[in-house]
Amino acid sequence: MSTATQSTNLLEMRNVSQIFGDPTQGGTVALDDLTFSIASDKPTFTSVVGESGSGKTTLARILLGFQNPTKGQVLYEGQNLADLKGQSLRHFRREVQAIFQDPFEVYNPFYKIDHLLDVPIKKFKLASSRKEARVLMEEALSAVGLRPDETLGRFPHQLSGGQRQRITVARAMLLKPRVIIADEPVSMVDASLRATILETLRKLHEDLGISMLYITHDLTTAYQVSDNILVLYKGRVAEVGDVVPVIKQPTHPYTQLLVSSIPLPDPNRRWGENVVEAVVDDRPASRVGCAFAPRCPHAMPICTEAPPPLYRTEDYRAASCYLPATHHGTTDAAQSTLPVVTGDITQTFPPARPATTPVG
Amino acid sequence: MMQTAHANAPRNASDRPAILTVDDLHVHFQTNRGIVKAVDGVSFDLREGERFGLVGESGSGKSTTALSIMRMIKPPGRIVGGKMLLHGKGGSTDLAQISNERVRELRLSSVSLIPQGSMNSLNPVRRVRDHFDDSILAHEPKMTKSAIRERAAELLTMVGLSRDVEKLYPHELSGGMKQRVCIALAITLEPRVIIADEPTSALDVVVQRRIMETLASIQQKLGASVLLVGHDMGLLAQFVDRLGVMYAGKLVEVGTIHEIFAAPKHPYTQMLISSLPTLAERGVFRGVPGIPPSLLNAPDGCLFYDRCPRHMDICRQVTPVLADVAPHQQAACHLYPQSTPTSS
Amino acid sequence: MATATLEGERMLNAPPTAGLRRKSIRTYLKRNPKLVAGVIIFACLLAFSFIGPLFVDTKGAQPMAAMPAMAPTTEYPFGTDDQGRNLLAVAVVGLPLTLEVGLIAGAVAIVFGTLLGLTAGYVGGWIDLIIRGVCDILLTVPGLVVLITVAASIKGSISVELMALIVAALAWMWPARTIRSQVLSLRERAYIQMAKLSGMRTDEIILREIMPNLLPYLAASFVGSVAAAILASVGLEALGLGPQNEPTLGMTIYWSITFNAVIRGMWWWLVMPIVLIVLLLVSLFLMSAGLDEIANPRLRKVEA
Repeated sequence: MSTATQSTNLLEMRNVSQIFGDPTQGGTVALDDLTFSIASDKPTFTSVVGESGSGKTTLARILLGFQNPTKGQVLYEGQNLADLKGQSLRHFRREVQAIFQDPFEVYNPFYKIDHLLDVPIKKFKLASSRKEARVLMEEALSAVGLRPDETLGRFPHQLSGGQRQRITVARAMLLKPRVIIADEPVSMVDASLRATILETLRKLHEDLGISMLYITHDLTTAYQVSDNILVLYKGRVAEVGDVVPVIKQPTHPYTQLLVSSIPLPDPNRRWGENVVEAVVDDRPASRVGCAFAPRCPHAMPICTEAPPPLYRTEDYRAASCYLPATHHGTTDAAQSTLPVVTGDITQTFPPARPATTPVG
Repeated sequence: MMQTAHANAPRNASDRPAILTVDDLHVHFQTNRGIVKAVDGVSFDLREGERFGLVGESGSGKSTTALSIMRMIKPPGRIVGGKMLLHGKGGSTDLAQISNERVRELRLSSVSLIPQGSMNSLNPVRRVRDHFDDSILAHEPKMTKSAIRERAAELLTMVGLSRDVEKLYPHELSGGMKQRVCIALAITLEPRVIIADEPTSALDVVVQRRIMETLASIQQKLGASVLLVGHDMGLLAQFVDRLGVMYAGKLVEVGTIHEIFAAPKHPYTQMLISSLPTLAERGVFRGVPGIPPSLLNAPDGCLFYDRCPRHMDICRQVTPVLADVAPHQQAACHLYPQSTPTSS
Repeated sequence: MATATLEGERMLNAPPTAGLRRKSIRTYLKRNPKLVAGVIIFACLLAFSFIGPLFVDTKGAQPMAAMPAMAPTTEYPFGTDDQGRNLLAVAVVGLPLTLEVGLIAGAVAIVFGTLLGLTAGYVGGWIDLIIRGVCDILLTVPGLVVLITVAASIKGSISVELMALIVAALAWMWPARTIRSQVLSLRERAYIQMAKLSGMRTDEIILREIMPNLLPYLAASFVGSVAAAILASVGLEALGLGPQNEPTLGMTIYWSITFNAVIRGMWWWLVMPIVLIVLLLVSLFLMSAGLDEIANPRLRKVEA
């Protein structure tokens, strides 16, 4: 697929890089030449996984228009985000929504929680009268398992973290956007509530056709709730594709490290049984070769010379690592028989399939 | 720092003596709307060389319990009842009763704490080595500078950091490195009890694993006991030998980690475990419905009543007590007759 | 990430601006004695200014209204000065004048300073650079020297309002800086991002989302500005640079020093204005300190 796709995409990043400071002098590259899109015709549920410093939060901020990328463009229905004003900007805001991590910070402490729901109803004209607005709010709250009479009219500090986070989900539901970017929506929520919130997100996707971008460091929930996955390491794509093979049989050593570090809730299967060990190295990654090379137990000379291309190792998976290429006989990209993914990485996503797949 | 499956498997410490006994601890917070019973009658043993976990959600009282043992509860919170016995060669000391002076002596030397968000508790204008100077000198004022440096270097190596780290300022360290410095500081005087309160809360999985492995190796070297407080059942399953489950200020289940995961006895534990996401299935979500109860002016009876799928009338009237329901397991639930106190 | 004690602390420490209306006086008294004490003293002084004229003939503040150089008696509780002014009347007339200067200057400084601070903080960019630059330069200017120079070079007598404006011109920078740094920190809050996602425009966000959270800082800054203005104006007047024909407190000090009140044993002439000014400034200081406690809530620790 060429990079010059016709813009039928709802939201699109083209060759986006985000650089802070001067990379040759200790500056950071938060995102490195990423091309990623959310289609307008088929809703997708994608997880973006990585550690802190991987660029996943920067990705969210750029897609939401809170940050202009240093290089590249972000397009909404073909228009550059930076050019949107007035009516078209409001349209963008209506259709691209977010759920944030901290259930306390998203509330203005001066107002009751009703404010969080009131404002968008008013600004996006979702109701024609106060009564209608009230009904909308009550329905949304009930849909997430809250009692309106126990939540409306309260101040944020009077409710628990779980209740507050559910209200932000209710808000997203109320707006019926086309894309929801959920940045660690359950990491500050109690374990018993996580499943409920994730289930709600899954339902929003299936019933209302909303595309989800689920940003997290928790691979297990990513596996549970999404269809596609993007693993970022130091601003670059480590691995991308169908969530099932990527997590069950990870190709990239970083993904393998992530998966092996998951604390499984099973006292019979503790860490230490897993084979992958990486050298501990806290130095900033070199950008000359593969960013993971200093920590990689399988590093080869070529890994420090040039960054590996994104090899498409299967129909629905790609990894930027020279290892699969070596298994195909050569590390020379020009001679390797492995196809390389250029342009939009979402081409590695599988077509939609039912959410509940038996173990496999 | 490879742990083989064998070395890392949970140990059975039931035959070893207790080093810390928490007996009927009550911690209340006085607010202008009433009393919040943050810890309401919690009792458990921490045995020598054991790793004991305390798990619970927000409002369960687990952190308050840990802080109480360190006598770090500040007003409006107060320890209003119970004992916290630290057992030693010379007898047992009740941490709840001793003077602040004595507490300061015992802190770090016998019982040390790795607090929540400890990475942010490092003084940003002091180098790492100054932190060591401060804690060592507070307890051993006669130690020479070079001896302190040696000890600091030893400790840094024990937690897997290079000696050069001592020269750095906290902001020059990554989150994982800061946490390791905190662990090193906590073990400076080789305490017998290490309390770790959510030590990996802001760290990603890879660093988290490293930190926990470091903590495990430290514990083995020192032969200390570790009380790990957390909300991540997965993390606890990976690390502890025995587990205490807290809900709304009370301990609702205690047992070996194997038993609790294989056969949880309390409905809350059962639902909590089944709600954990696993890599075994996709698209299945089992949460625990309802919200945690308010601890403000809490009523009698079991506080899990509203959310419990198996509640009975008695649950609303009589508070169940923690009782033995299996060889190495205790639960506080009226489903088990041992838990229902027989009225005199 | 999920931390039990963080949740607990947040629930125990309600933010200051939430439910502002519902607290009772008693709660305020318990929680913030400084603010209450300051308000009480200030209220007494205000009452003195407004109710005073009902009991005291304000014409007594003119010269030759009574026997000059009288020590305090029951008829003239504050005594008289050497020109025959009833000093009690002078107090009743002078206090509101001093207050007027302070309040006008404080108001102008705060309005001007807040507008600039909000703009600089929220919009950023080169506007911020310019405003900040001007602010920083003016902050280095020795205020009193400038004031003295300006006041001394104005031919004829200065009016109270003009004095207020002069003082305000050099008082707006501090509120501007304070508000700007508050806005900078508030700007990145998640609830501002939420407001953007909900379709609010920039001006709406500044007014409806940021301003309400600035109220404690605005109040503290205002009180601080008023106090600074009063101090500056009294300073100028005490040097003789104030309105010559008005019996303000500062001018009273000037006259009493010029006419050697202390040497002549007329201690009451100097003491009256000083005591009133001290009371005024102390009340403002207490209020400012009390408001500071509200504005910098214990929340700060939690949010860190």
